Amino acid sequence: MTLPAVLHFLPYGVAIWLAVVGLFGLTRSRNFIHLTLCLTILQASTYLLLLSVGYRTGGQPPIARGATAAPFVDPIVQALTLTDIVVGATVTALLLSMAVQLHNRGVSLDPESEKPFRK
Amino acid sequence: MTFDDHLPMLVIAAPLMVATVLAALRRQVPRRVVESISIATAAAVLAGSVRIAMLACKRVPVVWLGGWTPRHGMALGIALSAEPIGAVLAAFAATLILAGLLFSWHYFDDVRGLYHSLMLIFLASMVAFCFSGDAFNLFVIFELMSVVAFALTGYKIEESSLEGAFNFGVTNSVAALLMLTGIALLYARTGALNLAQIGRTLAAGPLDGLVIVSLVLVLSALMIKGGIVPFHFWLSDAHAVAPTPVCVQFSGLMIALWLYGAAHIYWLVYAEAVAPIRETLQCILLVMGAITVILGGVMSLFQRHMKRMLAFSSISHMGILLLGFAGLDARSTAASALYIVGHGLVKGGLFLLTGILLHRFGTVDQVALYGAGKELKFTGAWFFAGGLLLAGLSPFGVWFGEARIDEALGGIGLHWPGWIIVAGSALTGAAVLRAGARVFLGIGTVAESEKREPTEKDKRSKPGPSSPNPLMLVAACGLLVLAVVLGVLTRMESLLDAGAEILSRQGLYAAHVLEGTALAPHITGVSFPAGAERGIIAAAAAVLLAAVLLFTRWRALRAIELLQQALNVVHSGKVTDYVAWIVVGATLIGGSFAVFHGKRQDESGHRLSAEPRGDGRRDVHGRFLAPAAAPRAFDQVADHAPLLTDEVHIVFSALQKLAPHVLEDKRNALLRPADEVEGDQTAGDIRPHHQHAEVHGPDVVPPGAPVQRDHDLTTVVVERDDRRLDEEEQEDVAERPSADLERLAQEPSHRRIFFASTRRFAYTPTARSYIHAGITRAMRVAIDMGRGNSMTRAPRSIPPAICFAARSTGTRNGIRNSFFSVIGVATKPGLTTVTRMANDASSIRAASRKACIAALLAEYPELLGRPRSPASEAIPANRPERRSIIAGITASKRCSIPK
Amino acid sequence: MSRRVRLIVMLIFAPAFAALLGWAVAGLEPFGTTVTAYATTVESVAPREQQISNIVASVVYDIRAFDSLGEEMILFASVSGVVLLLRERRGKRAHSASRSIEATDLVRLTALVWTVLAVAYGVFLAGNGHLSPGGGFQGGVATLAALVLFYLAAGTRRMQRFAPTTAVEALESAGALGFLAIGCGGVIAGSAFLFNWLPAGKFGSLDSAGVVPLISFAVGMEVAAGFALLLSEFAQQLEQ
Repeated sequence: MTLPAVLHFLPYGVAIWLAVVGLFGLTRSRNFIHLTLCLTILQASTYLLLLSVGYRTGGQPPIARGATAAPFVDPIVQALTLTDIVVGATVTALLLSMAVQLHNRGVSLDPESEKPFRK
Repeated sequence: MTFDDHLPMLVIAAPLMVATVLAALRRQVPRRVVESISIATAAAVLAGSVRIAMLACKRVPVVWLGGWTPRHGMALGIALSAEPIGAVLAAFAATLILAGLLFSWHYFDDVRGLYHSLMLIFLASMVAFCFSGDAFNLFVIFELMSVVAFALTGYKIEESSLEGAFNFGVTNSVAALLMLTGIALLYARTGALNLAQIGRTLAAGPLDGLVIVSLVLVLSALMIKGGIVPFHFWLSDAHAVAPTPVCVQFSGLMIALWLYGAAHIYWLVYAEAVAPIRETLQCILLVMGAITVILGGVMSLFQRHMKRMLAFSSISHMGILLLGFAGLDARSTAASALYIVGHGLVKGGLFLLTGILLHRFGTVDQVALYGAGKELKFTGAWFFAGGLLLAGLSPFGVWFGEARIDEALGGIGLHWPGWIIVAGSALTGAAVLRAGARVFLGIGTVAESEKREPTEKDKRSKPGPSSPNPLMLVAACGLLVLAVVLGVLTRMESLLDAGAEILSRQGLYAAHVLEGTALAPHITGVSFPAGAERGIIAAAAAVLLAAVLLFTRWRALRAIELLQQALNVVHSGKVTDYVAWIVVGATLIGGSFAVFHGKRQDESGHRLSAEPRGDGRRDVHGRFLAPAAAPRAFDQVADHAPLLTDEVHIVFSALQKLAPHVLEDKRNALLRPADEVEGDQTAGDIRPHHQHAEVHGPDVVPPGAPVQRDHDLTTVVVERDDRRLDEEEQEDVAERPSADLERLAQEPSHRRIFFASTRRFAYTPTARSYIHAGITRAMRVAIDMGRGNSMTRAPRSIPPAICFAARSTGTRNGIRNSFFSVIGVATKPGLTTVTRMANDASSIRAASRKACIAALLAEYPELLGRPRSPASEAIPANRPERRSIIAGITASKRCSIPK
Repeated sequence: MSRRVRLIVMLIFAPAFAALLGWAVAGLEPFGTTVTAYATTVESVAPREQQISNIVASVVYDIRAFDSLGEEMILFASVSGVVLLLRERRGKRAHSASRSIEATDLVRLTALVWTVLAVAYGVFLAGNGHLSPGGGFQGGVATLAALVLFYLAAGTRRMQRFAPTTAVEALESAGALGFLAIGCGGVIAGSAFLFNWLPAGKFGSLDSAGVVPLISFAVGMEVAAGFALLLSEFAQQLEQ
């Protein structure tokens, strides 16, 4: 109606872009830390997709104040995104701890280097 | 609620509680106490899940967590449903964890409490997965299992373990994110997170790109976790380095459980919705399964590291499992579930025996262990037995599943997968037998090229005890013995059959979960599967192949060398490659669906009757250009306006918006207290509900026309059939429209016009409450309807049900993925006619609205101040019907109507 | 695959994957118009039945509390995993000399002030989660900020003295166990697991919303303690 049609899909387009950039970065990565951060970008794309699905034009934050009937943005996807963020943070922590231990053992953090199992 | 009702949740909560306590107290409590407590917990979970499985013979309990039962057929909370297959797999998970914990009693020299608490959390997550009925909950469990698996894989903190765990971590996190994207898309389309409800809503909606891509994403994610080619690369890296009891869990159940999860989600969510592309899905799954079987088998033959070899054999057997699920019917699902149990037992036993070797010698490299196992005669005997079992020797464990899969696939006319299964089993069995012969018998040759295969260096500084610990042997052989006697457990097999049948009846299962209609598993007896000779053939082929591999210089063949090099290049160990393969695989799957979907769209336009369809078909492909196409579509449809007005139409959303106190109150009872509704109505405000159709162009209504909501509208509705939802319909008979059209169109006193869009109705709470009551009736109605234009009888109080009936008509005409605009005129009480307008998404929404308006204008040109054509009836301006028409159009604006 | 082959493969398949996702997204409703009945039902149910203001908190801690339980266990498992993975600190690159961060007095004073404020804010966020935006997860992370500040100002060893590992682990387990115990309370009260068995109270008051504040608090405790463990584990890697 008021926005051009392309802006209607802009948030979803950004989410797709983030996903593709994250995946591309994962395949071009030369460092495990960089790899973990590309995974973070991929996670961010899912947050954006979830929250964009839930947005409602003219909506209020989902805090009820008395008996008003203001339309709220979707609280379900916000709950899903909360869970997703925590999950993403924990997986990042695990991957980084693996990277730290590898570094301590003198192993190169480059995914392209010779793998121990294949020496 | 009885104890049995709480049992599914207690079986999940108990290991979690024990795990948290163990993690906190691990330094104060001696190791043996910690181990005993964890073994006791695993045994308790086993007892609990066996009891749940017993109870599942009689009914399928659904537990709504938090007490949030569904309201008006809409699920609020998270459901745990202890359906038969899930219960059996949960019991199996407990068995494997128990075996693993028993094995670790002596396996680890020094293990902290964290290992045990992680194993218990792993057990809880597997059991929770078996019972969960909610899509996002499945994602959370997905991540829980993955996180525990990452941590346990890297347990040994050696170079290779950490690398393997990192590869595992990255690929599975990508899988999780793909799955979450799929779930987000499903939520956006259906507004539900409960699997049964998503399935129900998807089945009623169109099959378009969103549904297909969500299927692709979810399937890809679960196939990544299940180790299907081309997503399988992480599996060999992870299983080779994880500690042995953990490998048992991974190979024995975790990967198979994720493939079962794919089948579970397919049955509950997608089965009815993707029925048009079912053959495509089946073809894709069969091809991927076959490739996985062969590739896994061949790779396992090339390996020298025994755990890596067993990992590749797991990949191959997961391919067999996928072939089983690709049957896409109840029988093959039950067969696959049986196969999961059989394969898991054998693979678990083999891994534990390998663990005994590792414990004793510090390495599981076949070349390094050549002949070293000669004194471990008992272990060796069981190892050979395991190899034969893996090859599918009948009538034991793995063969049961394979034979049933074969039967089920043969039942739908696919006989070639059976031979692939035999080939795969023979290959993997041969690999195991060859390894056993080298290690335990010290026979066979070792080629030079074999020394170039990936392996791990010997890490052990001192040798282990000279004979394997009895507890470790008990754990290993116990699993193998269970695999041998699997055929005796016919009760379990019939339970699996009943469970698969429940899953395949998606509608009934959804009604059971969401409304509580009773559902009893139908336990029948099982017969001994046919095809015992195939098992013997496979086992014999495995033995022969092992002999060939041992005693010939097969590796010297140029072809074999090239193959080995190529495979080693592909299985490079680089996680970046693995992610690239994931993207390739997912895109190829999605692309095949897109290609087939497009092809079918072209063919589906043919079968409607009586309407010019060519332009409609073009609109399908114009979806991406929807905004640009809208004016074009409108022109096309406006051209058809005279044709449309000759037909009999009904339009609904004015009905929903304006008239009915009844409808509005029913809807508002869900959303607001009644006094608010009352207040609004007296004020004359029309509440802009989000479900309402959009604003129609202001040019439709003559400017300044006085409009009010009046009781005539209620009267209009009340005048029609006021049948209650639970009353039996008196007449279901469809009448052919052609003869009656003229007559009905000329009846002035009952003419009403309403607008609707069926897609919109999929989301209204009103429709939701009506769907439940009305859809079976609507389906029944639809069956009696003929081709495109038809008439049927239905109570006015379920207009959305009629929209669904219209869609079903389209379905039966071969147009599955159409959007409908239902435009109709009620010509006498209770009589509605439905016709298909145009056939695609947003452009058509716009077009359909405008088409409705065009139809309306054509019908009542006096609204625009034009003279009426002689063919139509004239309606004087002050008749109630006209006011209702104008009010119908204006009320769709988001404005208040002056009194 | 060599690096170049992988680049070519991705240059072909990444846009195709994007097109696939675009095909899916084309079926979505335009931005801002998707409204689901699940959301509207929850929006009406939560304030009325549970007397809770923050509808997201009612979803996270009451209606879909099992997801939060799973999430908490993911955090627990992940922290256990990190402790497990970082349990050995020997290695070729382990630092021989300890490097503690020397902070000036100004830094220490500011950090002290902000630590107290961060703890207060974190507890407020966690405790008020059912009334205003916030909740256990957010409050836990905010409380963690206090510990991070402390670490930055005072160094690893003082941080370990201030928050000894056993105590922090006990807190973490207590948080997780607390959530499970509250869930079992629902079983004991006769309804399902995670049933909201405390009275709903008056809308807008601190003791409204039944068990949601309790669960919120338990989650906050576990999150703060878990991330504190993570922090101390990673910090110890630097200080061998």
